[in-house]
Amino acid sequence: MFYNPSDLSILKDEFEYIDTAIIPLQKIDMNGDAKIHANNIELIQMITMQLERQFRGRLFITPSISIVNDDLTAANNYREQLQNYGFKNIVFLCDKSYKIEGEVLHFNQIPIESMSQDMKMEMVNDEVKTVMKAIIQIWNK
Amino acid sequence: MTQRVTRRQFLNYALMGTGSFMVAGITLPMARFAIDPLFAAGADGDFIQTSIRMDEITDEPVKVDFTFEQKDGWYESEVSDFAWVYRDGDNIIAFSPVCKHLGCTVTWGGDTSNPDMFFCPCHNGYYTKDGNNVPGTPPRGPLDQFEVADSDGYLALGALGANKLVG
Ligand code: FES
Repeated sequence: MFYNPSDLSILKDEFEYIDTAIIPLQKIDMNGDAKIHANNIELIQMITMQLERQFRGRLFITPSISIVNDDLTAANNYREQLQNYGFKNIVFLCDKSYKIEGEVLHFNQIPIESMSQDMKMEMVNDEVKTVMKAIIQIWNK
Repeated sequence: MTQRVTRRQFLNYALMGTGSFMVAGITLPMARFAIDPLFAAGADGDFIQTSIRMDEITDEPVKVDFTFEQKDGWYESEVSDFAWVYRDGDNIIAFSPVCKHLGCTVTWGGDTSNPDMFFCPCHNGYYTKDGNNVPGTPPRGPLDQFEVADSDGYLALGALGANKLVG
């Protein structure tokens, strides 16, 4: 489920089944790494769309939290809110550059902008499969 | 949301592969709800041609990918999707992979200990080959079924509707 009005209603009615929240993190600094960040933002969108399609019935994928100056306060506050809401699993989705506590799903920073459409889909699907396996592992714990 | 097929095109890659994702140890109470209202996939009368030949289809369900253009407000995008397709005598059966519980993607043989069933990894939902949901598992109805047609020897998929094999 996504953070939109109709999915939020389903979330409320079916909360016993939708037990896992995914919080994507995206850096948006205007520094020398801006292009890398922008690439990662597109990658996150592709990954979360696939995750939604595969696991829609059990995941709540929140809007991405934008991170500036590596300040993770908002991310941690949001995790706390979701905890209070009652989610059993709360997982950040980000590349490997974040130093964040708690459950984290990492993806590799694939430079998708330089790739053909087919290549892009293949690489992204590989990342998605890795993330899906990690999610299933969390469920099986 | 309106959907219109504007291009007869297919994808050569399988969206997710046919990986078997096993989930063990989760038991959830069975839900007591009526079947969801049906929804239509292709716009009326439109068929989307796929890349699979009619005579290639066997009695083993396989993923068949297809794409269509979707217009949503100002935004038009190419959407890729797939169906589970197999042959049953003279009939070609094509099911939507969307679980009738809460919408995860189901996989044929996804649970290796039940290779002859569709499996939903989200809450251990099962369907028999005819798309019928297995009682006692969370799904609230049978898998939806696509209209099918023969387009110059290739499978074409049409509107999505209720399952016709089971009640
Ligand atoms: S979404 Fe719950 S069993 Fe498929």
